[in-house]
Amino acid sequence: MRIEKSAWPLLLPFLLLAAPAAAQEPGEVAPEVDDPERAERLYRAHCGRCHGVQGLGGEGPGLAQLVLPRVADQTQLEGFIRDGIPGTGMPGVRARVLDDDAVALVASYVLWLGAQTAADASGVTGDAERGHDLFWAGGDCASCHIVAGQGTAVGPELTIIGLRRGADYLREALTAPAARLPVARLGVRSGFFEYLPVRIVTDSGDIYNGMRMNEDSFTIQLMTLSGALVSLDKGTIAEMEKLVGHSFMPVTQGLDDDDVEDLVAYLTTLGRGS
Amino acid sequence: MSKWNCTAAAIAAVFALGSATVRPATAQVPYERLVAADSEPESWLTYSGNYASHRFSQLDQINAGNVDDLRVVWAYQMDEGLIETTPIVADGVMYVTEPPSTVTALDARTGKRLWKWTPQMGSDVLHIGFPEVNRGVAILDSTLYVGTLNAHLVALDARSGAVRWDVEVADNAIGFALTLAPLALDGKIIVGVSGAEAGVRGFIDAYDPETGELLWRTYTIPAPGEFGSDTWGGNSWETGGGSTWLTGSYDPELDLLYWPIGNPAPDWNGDLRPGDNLYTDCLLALDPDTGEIVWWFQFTPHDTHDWDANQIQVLVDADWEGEPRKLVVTANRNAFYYVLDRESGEFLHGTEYSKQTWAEGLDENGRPIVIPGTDPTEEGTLVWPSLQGAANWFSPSYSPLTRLFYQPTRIMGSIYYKAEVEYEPGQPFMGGGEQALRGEEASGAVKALDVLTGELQWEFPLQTPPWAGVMATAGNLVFGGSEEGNIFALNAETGEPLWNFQAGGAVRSGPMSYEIDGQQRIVNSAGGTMFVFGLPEG
Repeated sequence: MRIEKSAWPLLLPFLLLAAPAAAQEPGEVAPEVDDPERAERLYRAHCGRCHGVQGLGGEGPGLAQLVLPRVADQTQLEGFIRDGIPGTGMPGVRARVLDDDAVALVASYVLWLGAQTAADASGVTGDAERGHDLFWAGGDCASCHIVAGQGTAVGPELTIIGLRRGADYLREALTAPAARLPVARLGVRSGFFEYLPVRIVTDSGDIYNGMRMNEDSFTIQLMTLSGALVSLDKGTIAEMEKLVGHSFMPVTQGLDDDDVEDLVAYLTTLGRGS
Repeated sequence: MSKWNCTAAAIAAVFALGSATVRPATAQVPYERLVAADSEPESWLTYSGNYASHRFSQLDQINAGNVDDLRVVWAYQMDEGLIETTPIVADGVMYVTEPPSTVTALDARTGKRLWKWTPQMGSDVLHIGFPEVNRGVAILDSTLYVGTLNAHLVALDARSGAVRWDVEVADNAIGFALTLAPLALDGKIIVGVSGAEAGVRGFIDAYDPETGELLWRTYTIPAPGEFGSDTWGGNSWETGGGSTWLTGSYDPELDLLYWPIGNPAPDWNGDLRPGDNLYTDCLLALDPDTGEIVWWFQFTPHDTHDWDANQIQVLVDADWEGEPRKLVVTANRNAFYYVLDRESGEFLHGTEYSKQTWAEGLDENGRPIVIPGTDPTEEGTLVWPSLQGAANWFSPSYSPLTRLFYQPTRIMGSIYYKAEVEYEPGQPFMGGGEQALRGEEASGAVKALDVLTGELQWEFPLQTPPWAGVMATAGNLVFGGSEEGNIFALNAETGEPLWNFQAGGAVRSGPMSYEIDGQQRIVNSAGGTMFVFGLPEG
């Protein structure tokens, strides 16, 4: 697959931190992070309170993913660490606390965390070409997912999913789709499960099944499986069931292990080229 | 007399025509007005509305019957950053702080800016463990008092924003900062400091309003030889934390100042500071003339979860077991609600008000019965509430009409981690971290508690754990906000939702109310904008 020019900055961390061994313990950091023990110590001291000591998020968003939406490259990430992000809870550390070398070290550690979690392509054993055919034909995946502008936007957009998720995550998403719903990380949906199936019965007897797009204490917005937006006031809802632990993604019955591995191999290429 | 040399009376005569309004040129808010704040509900003179910290408005023009008609009258867009402020309104002028430490005066009728003052702080100001926020000013006579992120206390002329004096409260280079609204008393300005996450030794200060001279300083961590010093192992007291970063309350009859104290440092590694760690996580009652500690009560001895007691302390007079009694009540970050005698500090009652998994309950003295195995570990320990607590800095409200205590509540657990840490000046000194539960595993509520028993009377569910305060009014309303951008009103007796405005950004401030030209206003902020609401006129 051709790599869009705009995707190159996103690839940078991956290229910098190519193929670190899977499931390394922090402290046994890949050699691309200078002084890994100090990097981990600085990360935990300065970032762990909000972003989680393992980068999985807390009050702040998780960082253990290859693509950070605001971050084009390490230089920009260093800027965020140094100066903070206005309008958010992200403070800058200021030169008095961390000098430029220390900021660069923390930034490289954050990118390494993402590489560790998401970019492990080494676990891919399937045939990407066959996976491509399964995706577009046999699996009917495009009836709910978009890749490069083709498909339907009911499930997650997959155009660069190979940059966002590692093989293990993708495998789990195919075989146990409800096991780990993604959590929204920005804005007024921060902290929400995304793609949460919801069933609603209104006072007038209308029934809606859909995925939650957003919700507050007074209203809820769903997208139905046909792609229609439903916006309801909670005062008009008689019953609402949030199907935590469920997903509209069909479990891949009829696909054997080889099929799953081939799909994983194909998805892993999306956004990376192949 | 030149034709331009008009008298104030002549100006007033001219401008009394039409919808214009003329007010005194100077804001004069002597102590006598502050202490009697309840008698002028058209103003909002202190951070929490009165010295008892009720955050209750006696205005009832906006009420449960008409709140559905509420609409935006004006809005003010602030400098970039998180808005956690509560404005002061006096004599037609609103004094509000903008991030990080800016003070702005607005025409309370139209929202037009009158002046704006921004401190020169440089780009390397430290704020370790919290964002660049400010929660408001204090007013006394014709002067405003603001604490700045670089740990100065500045006195500004309320008419012009000109600096009258500027003192360094503490050294920002080792982590001290001021984010709280100062408290103005008779002849003194009281402030506290942030900085426990940098291992400071906390204190409370009183300053002369005229000169900025330091009148007294009371440390929250006792030095060797002082009472309580035996609750700190080794030299751990030197870096013991105990910040004082939220505005206290005051009882003018008892002449006692009530100030809540923050967490011990390092936050999550208690091995480095064996003992109960007085006066961290305490409520202190102080003599405002000397700073002497009259009594203390510790909510969370030897805290290892960062559960500062920096919540608003609400003073309530009520019959307790048949006898009139002066009480102080608080919903603590550790998920327990407390009722104390505010003359003596005696523990009267405590009860869980939000999910918690760290204590079996409180003993007869109010000391928590801690469940073993709930301390942070290197592998992680799941405990409710999360590090940000069931409550935090955001304000509760007490209505003397419903006798209910309204508490925005965070219902959230965290996996707590412990790590090694060594103190270095001006560096984080926390010793661990957390990973909070998210998605549908965390939520929030506005809870209405019986003020004496802490028993839940009603709750209004919030989608995610809130960071916004609440205000009850005599209109049988409770105003609040959500992370999802709702600015809303609930029926104060039942919790029924009556009004909702989707403001498009998270609400992080405390609502307040005032009246101008006979019209009640409701103020709350969301995202980067402060909104002022009112009913349609005529």
